[in-house]
Amino acid sequence: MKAALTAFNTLARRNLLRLTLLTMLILLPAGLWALIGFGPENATFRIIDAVQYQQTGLLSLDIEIITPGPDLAPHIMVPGRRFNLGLAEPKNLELKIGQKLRGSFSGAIKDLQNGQIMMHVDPASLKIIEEPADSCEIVYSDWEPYFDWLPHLKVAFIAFWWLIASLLVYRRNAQD
Amino acid sequence: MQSLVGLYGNRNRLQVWLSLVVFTLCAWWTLNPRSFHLLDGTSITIALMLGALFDFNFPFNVTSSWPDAAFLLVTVSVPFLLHVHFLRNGLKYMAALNIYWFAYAAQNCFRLLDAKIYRWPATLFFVLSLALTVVALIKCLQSSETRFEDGFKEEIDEFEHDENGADL
Repeated sequence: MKAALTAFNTLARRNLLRLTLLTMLILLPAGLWALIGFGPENATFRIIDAVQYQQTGLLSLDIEIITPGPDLAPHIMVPGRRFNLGLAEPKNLELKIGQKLRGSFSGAIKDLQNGQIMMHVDPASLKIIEEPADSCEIVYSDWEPYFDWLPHLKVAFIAFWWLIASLLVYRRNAQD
Repeated sequence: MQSLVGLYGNRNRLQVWLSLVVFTLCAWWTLNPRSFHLLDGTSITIALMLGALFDFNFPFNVTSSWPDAAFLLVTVSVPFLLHVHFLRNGLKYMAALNIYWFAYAAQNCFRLLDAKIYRWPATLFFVLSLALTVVALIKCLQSSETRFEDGFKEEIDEFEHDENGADL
């Protein structure tokens, strides 16, 4: 027993730094690993806004969680919290803005701990629970034609104000 | 319109160029509000300093709650404090440059609202941040130093008169 303790003490003393680093690597991210993937099932939500893109055919839904459902990460699926979902248009359902649906989610945190959270919903799991009378169809995005021009518009904005500044600081004659 | 051309024609050219360079950088970062901004370094520093007390998310994400809103208020208050400091010390050009920090504060408000998927308020703050960037440019040009001859015109005229009198 004494020999075993002596051996353990010797091992710990000699490899203290390595043991510390190994312990940190195991314990510190342990809380984070539990958050990397999560999959709340049967969560209900409402579509508060949505658009469809012609180029990709994908839907972009802004949803609000109503009831989170059983979830390993309840601090993420909080009632009232809003998420943005991108998904292909379900073949068996006609989604509308204002509908209340139930579906299975999966999510991930892009960059650990403080990163952005990406949510996905399984289109096959979607079920319409309620469709209010004032719900409206999801239309194509009005801004999509201008997406390709965005970098040029940004440069034009800066160039325009350079022009204005140039006019303001223009020296009329050599005496200025 | 013609009265505006050359309105600031007598401004210090170094400060004019500095104003335009800073405007270009800040405008580009403001036009890409979800991406990098140089002043993020100050926000991250504040988050690290207060991180022992509060768990901040920066950049903001969808789980942002009251600590992150409080953190946003802290970062928004920084340009106000700087503005008061600069004005009280007569640093007009620095106060004008500080308006870019106000634009960054508005951009942070956009980031928090955008992360929480509140589109219209986020859009308003985005437009505000762009407007503040433009206001900062104009204000920087206005606050740039004029040529020293304009400020000391009477002394220069008197000196030249004395010189001419001495030559005679």
